[in-house]
Amino acid sequence: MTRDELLQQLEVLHPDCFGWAMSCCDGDREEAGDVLHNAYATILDGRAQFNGRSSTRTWLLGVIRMTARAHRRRRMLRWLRWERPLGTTDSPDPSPDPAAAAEGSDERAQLIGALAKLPGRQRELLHLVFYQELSISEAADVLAISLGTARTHYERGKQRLRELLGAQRP
Amino acid sequence: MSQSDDKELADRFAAMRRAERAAAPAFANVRARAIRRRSLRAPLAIGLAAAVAAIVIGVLASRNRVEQAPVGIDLRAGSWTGPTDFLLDTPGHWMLRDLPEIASPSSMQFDTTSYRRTSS
Repeated sequence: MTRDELLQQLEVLHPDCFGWAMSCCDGDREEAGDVLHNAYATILDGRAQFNGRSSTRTWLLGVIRMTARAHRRRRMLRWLRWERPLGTTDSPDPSPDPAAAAEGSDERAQLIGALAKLPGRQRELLHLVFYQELSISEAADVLAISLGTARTHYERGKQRLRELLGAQRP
Repeated sequence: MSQSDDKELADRFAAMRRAERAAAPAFANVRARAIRRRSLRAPLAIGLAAAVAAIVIGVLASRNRVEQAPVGIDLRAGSWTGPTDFLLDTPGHWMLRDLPEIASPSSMQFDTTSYRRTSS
């Protein structure tokens, strides 16, 4: 794949990539932006190379996930070394930007709240399957886990999410 | 879990997807930021490599200078006594150091008159 083709693909997939970055960063919009730009820089530098073993979309989501994890590790190290400014909180800012907030509904807020209560692996799987519309097999590729493990997490996650959403319903 | 449950979840995720798509930063901005970072990376890496090379060369050069410098000790300036030198002091060692003097023949006085032959 040439560089121009790669850029074209990135542009097409960019909105979905942002959604995935948001999921990887627990809804922190600012952090998601940093992660996304780091992931694009990694790809443009050639440090992450597409080898054609999966679809471009799956590969790209995997790169973003790895970048988000590295970003989180760096942030944790900075926090341990007291390099953060006083007054900042560790919990991600769950509030979306004003435009998104205006468009957001109660149902969306409920879904975000319920997803936040799920274990990370289940949350990631549900996002990949329902939000990114990947198959469970593709989601397993992105998360680098076996298909059987992915199925288990998917079923458990779906059940737990359903319970949480049911409990939130008045 | 029924198909309708899945459908409900899918609808909720689709609503979230629509909202987040609308709020996503423009691709051009993110790309420009990534390229800017990439363009900063190369000069930074070159500068860092040059600094490291300069430090290494400096250290090696100073080490060579130290190794090649002549030892500035004047051995004639002082005397040194080894801590085990006393072991070399054997009994009568002075005899080995001083040569006994033999008097000159003129100063020798032999009493030749008192010489007697004791045996025939």
